[in-house]
Amino acid sequence: MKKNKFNINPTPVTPDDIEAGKDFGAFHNKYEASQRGSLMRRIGLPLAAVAAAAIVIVVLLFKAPDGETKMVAQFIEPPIKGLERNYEEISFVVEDGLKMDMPSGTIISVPANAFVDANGNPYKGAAKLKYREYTDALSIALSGIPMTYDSAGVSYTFESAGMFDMVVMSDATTPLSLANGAVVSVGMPATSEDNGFNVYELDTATKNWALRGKDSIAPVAEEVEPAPAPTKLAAKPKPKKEPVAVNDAKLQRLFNTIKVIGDSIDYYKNLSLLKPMRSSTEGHHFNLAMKYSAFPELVRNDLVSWEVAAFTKDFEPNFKTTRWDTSAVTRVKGNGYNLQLIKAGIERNFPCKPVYQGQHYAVAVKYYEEVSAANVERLAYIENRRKELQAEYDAYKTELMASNKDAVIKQEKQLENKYNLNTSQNTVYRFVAVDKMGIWNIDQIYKQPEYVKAETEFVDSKGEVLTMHRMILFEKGVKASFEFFKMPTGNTMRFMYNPNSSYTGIGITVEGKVFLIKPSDMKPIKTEGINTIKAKDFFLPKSEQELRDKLDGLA
Amino acid sequence: MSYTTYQMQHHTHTARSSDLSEEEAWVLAAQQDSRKFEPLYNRYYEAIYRFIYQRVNDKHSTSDITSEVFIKALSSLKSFSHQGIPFSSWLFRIARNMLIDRFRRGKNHRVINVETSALAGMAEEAEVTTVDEDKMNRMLQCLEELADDDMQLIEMRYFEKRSFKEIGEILEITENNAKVRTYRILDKMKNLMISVK
Repeated sequence: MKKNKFNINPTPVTPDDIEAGKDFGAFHNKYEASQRGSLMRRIGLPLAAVAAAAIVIVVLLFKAPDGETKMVAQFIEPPIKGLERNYEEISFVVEDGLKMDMPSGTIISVPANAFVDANGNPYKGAAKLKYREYTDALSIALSGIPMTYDSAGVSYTFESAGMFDMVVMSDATTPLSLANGAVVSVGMPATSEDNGFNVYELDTATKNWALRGKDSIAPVAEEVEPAPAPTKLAAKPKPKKEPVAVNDAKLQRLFNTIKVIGDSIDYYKNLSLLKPMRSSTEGHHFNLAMKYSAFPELVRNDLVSWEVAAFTKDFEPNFKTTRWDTSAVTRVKGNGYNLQLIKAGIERNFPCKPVYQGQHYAVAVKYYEEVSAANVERLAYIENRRKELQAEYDAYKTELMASNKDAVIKQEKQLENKYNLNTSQNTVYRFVAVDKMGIWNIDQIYKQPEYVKAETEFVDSKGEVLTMHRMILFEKGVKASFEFFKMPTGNTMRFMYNPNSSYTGIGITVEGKVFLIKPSDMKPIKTEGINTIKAKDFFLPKSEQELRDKLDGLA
Repeated sequence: MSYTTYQMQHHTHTARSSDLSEEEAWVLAAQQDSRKFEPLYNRYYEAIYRFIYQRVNDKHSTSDITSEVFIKALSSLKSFSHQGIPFSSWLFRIARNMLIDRFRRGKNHRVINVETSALAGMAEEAEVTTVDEDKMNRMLQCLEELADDDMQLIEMRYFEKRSFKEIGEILEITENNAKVRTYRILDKMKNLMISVK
């Protein structure tokens, strides 16, 4: 009989031993790899994995690809008039400084007595901070701020993890300057912890970005010091009455729980599980290593095969065994799916559907029935729980407000901001130390080895060639925008793009007419010769959101 | 256990703390998006690490196995609501099963870490009135003879100081059964100690 082996008074485990292996980011990467790996092992085929979504916002502006002619754009020129972002204005008293949580989640911290007037004398009294930021591809593109960086005669393109523009005014027309040694801290929420980025300040005199060092990165989860409410601009500042801070743990816990449960309710209400389908013997089946979280409607991702129907037009049986550079499935309008196969830049698309082969079908059906029934019960249960917790929250809040109304309202607002920040998948704050008012940017040089050159003209519905001013392309998956200007001569646009990606975009004529560029316009683009894209449905967007919605609709 | 049972259990515990509700919420969130597993990972990493280290006594292996346990948990998270047990016990079950599998396949060797103070506590409960070195050695000899299932109960109860309720949840037996079996083992040990010379 085997004997148990004892280790008497073992070396104790230290917190360092435990922390050494505790890294959620690394763990999650391993988890995702395991999900793909298990599929690859199961099917035993060398399949190309779908590239993970980019974690930083990428905004590029290309000059003419061959550099033979110069851009005709001015230094800062918003592409569509009237869509520039407005400044947010915050009044404060210079002697008090300012700590502010912006609606976007950005934290601004201004030290006391930090400003001087035009003569270099310390400024005292009321002032107004004007701030606007650009944190995604569309907002940066619409700002018209150039994203190229010239260094030693070489022009580079930037990718940005966030950009902002900040000024402080003593009145409507008089800007103030930061005093020597004074530093304003701006912490922007971001998804990337990549420390390869640098901080640049836009030098309006040289019309170039000036390298100003590095940003510092801190986790979003770190407690943010509560910001005082902004004071109103007044000729004679009154002493502020600070509310007593309420950082009530129970209020916070209840608040977050209700929020998360609310998200879950939305999720289950919108979740429509797809009833498993049995594979047909004639169809062609693909088992793909891919990110299945995009398809929550499939009950057993690990057992799914993608079936292209027999006799599908242009489908050749040997496609099944071809080693594709990229093979991916996307959902298309309606309830269908598209299988995209790419090799050597040639793309093929076929309608497909998720099916279960052999005994997997019975397993999936059983699971579907169980999960469907459980989801109905789960939804009822969590709806009830939310009601209970909401009642508990309301009662507790009323109790707290009886003694400190302002502080409770403030904490609630902060919790709302923080929750939105966390659920927007921002994981870090990137802090920039600002010693001069102006435009600041967290950037790194962008490399794009897979991009190729192409040339196109744009025609209207009558076939007449349009005189273009610029085009802006947004690349799917990498959240990129690429901006190109027309050459001084001719009517064609030269640009660079990745033939394996999907794009939407905006075209702008010299008359200021705007039209959308659809993925189907970009698909047939060839690198040889001059392409033609038909521009349709000219419009003038009234807001950034309207344009964003239209672009999202295309994607 | 069906989801209905799970639901019923929660409704009967009307005085549950907000902590538990919060954990429920995080489980729900992680079921929809694996990135939201982080609060659960952070909360239980240490407990799982210690559970494994107790059984393999090797820091490098412990770190690897802990990571595997969480990967397995995240992969199976959608089925969690059917279990009707606290999330922590469900994690310990995964860890236990994974270890059993590794021991069977010879990937790791089963070790039982024992503090002498824990042995003294056990002796007290077994009504061994005086504990000297000789008795301690005899007790270890007796423990060496225990079957795996019995050893697990003793280990969780006396070396890891777990409640019978938690032991029951991890070993998938009732709380009462865990209690009865543990005291039977103690009785058996007393008899063994008498027979060991």
